[in-house]
Amino acid sequence: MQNIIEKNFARELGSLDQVFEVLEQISRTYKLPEGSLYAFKLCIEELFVNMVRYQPDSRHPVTLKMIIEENKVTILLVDHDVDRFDVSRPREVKKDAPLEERKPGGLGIYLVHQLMDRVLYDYKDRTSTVTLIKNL
Amino acid sequence: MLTIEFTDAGIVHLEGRFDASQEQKALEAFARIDTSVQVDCRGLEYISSVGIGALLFTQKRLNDMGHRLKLLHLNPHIMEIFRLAGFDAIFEIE
Repeated sequence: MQNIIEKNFARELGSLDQVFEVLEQISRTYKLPEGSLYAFKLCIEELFVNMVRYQPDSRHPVTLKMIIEENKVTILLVDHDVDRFDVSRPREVKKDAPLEERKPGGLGIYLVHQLMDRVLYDYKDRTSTVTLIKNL
Repeated sequence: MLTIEFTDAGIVHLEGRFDASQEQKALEAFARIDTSVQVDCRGLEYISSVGIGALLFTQKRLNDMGHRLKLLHLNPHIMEIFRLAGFDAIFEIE
């Protein structure tokens, strides 16, 4: 059985409060594991923040769609009227580099790939769709 | 929402959620730190890459001044994120 939830969020960092509220509500309703909830929060924040910061010209809200099944959760983040920004290839992070060489840039996308089982990207008619799949 | 509280004992307490919307507030607060510091994360529920970046920036600044930043009481989820990112070797964590 599939449960599908879809919400739109204004493209501003202030929307993160609502994003987290929705995720916590979904987690309670569908009894998602606590570790998965943290992973969903982090991955959705990282991608949402990228959309807000790097696609500032779009006036459209960002759509979050979650498809919850018994053994997996699929998350789609849909961003309209934007340039291509492919996040499906993992970013390289030098984990062993010393403090002076460490930079936070690229860390968010790197963590998304670490925490999710699959990260897919589609770009069509100026619409970006990022799909995340997490096996439970 | 993130709460940042400084105590006279030289400990900074972080509570709540350290997401991208809290970055500016955190950077302004951390800019006040000019000596070795312990950051108590007992009440910190969540941190994203932006929060880790703010801590990294502060760690580097203090390091350049010959001071240290130590993180205390990270919850297991946050610890896992630090481990995945390799930051468990960069930060002093207790």
